[in-house]
Amino acid sequence: MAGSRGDERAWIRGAQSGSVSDLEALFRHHWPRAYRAAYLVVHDSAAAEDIAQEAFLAAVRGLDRFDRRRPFGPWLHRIVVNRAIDWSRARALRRESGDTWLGLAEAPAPANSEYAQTLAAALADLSPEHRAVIVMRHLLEYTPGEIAEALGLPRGTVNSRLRRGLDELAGRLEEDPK
Amino acid sequence: MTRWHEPAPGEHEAEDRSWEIVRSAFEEHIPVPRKRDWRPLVAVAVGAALLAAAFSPPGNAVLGSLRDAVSGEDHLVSLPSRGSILVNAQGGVWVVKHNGSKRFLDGYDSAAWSPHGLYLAAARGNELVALEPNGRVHWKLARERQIGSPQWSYEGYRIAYLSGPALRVVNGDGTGDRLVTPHAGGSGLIALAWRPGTHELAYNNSRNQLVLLDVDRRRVLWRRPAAGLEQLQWSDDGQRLLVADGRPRILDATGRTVATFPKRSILPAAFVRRSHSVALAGIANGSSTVSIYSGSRYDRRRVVFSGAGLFAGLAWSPDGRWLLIDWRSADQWVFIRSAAVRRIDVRNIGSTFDSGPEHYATLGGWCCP
Repeated sequence: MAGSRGDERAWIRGAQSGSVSDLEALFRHHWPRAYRAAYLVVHDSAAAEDIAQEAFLAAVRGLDRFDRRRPFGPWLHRIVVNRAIDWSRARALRRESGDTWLGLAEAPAPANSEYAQTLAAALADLSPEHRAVIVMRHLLEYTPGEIAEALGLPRGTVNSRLRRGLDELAGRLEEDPK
Repeated sequence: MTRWHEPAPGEHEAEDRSWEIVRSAFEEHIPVPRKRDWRPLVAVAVGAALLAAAFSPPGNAVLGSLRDAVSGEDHLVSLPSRGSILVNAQGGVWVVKHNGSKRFLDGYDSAAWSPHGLYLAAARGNELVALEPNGRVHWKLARERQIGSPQWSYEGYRIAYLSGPALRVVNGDGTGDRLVTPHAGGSGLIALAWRPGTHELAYNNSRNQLVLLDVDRRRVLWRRPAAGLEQLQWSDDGQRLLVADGRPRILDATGRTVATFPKRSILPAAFVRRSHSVALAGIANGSSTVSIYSGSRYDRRRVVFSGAGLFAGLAWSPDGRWLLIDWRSADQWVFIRSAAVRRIDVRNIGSTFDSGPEHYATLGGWCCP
């Protein structure tokens, strides 16, 4: 089956020995969730692109040392989500040297649909930290224990953020985000 | 399936762009057989060179070449976005491609991109030359005086250039050369800028006036005072003109002043792509700052980068996502996308382009995917 654990190990092994096609398979398989996770935390398509791209570049730099017995996704997602939280915090703090100027330089993101109006909009009212745990749980499908480990948080904090975040989301979305 | 699994805005376009960048990084990174550890031998060689330097002129030369080899490393291994950068340097012009490859076009000066980056117009002594970025010459035109500042019109059908103080225009295929004015330029530099979408040329004349001329109809559209002009630049839609002189300002297409900026001693500037917002670099108290001015009156200012010393040039990437700052005092290029996410510093720019204290390499533009 495409994208199975066995495939992933084979792609990593191939990429470690220099195969561009194996690296591309790994990239194409993981890109959508990496980008979506970043987007749902930062709500900025250019920043999401940067964050996901940087995570893959970090993967390329660390490829030689990567232990292929371990799954690639959690390692990548940890980088993506932590960077997305950092970016959101920095944006909130920066007034003078802000990032919104970049928006001036770019064409507006594709006016996409319901997506921007529902899920992303509903998440926008939460803090980046709350968004991150919700995204890790429901988009990336990690357990609370795995989220706690990835973000360096106590498990109780993850659970409380999930509970509060879902309460907020429930009022805004027609369907259960699960 | 739920909304969690729907594509996010921009996801697919970002995937293709990012794959190209990741692939480039990977190809540079592909593992190679481990090299022998030469460090002990290098240490012995350096020690010997130091001893030699201490006792003899030839040794001194050895030490000098070692120092150059260490400090002159080329760090510009790729560009963060598609397109190629033109650098006017001592003795010629460099074309830097996206993958970091560099071609030196010996003997050219003042090069400028054609609108789609297929050709360059460059000066070579008293010749105006149209050539491809690989150096293949398409045509050349000799004039009596030194050639300078060639500029292509927006669709490539006209090239304005200087021959001594005379401003001339020639068709993009080298035909139809004609004089516009025998004495361009006032108390500052001579500045030229074609208005996008037209054959209207802004330039400064010898009476310290800024002139907008319809070149094809030979009709002056308006004149405005402009002393000490250093730079002219139109926004992509041709509706705003940046005038960098002693009183930097933005004009609209009719020559009316829309905004003025604080006086600065040095003013590299670049309109944000597809926007009226503008990036300006200024220097005060030994420190330079790049700010983005936006809003209909340019009253919104955001500082995006500061550093000690001089910023000599600014250029936006063709897709408008990256801003390149030529930080001359630090001998660096700084590529900025988002201050929180991406910033790439490239050192040793002077050595990379063989510039020296008297002949700095200057940005000639970042063009065309």
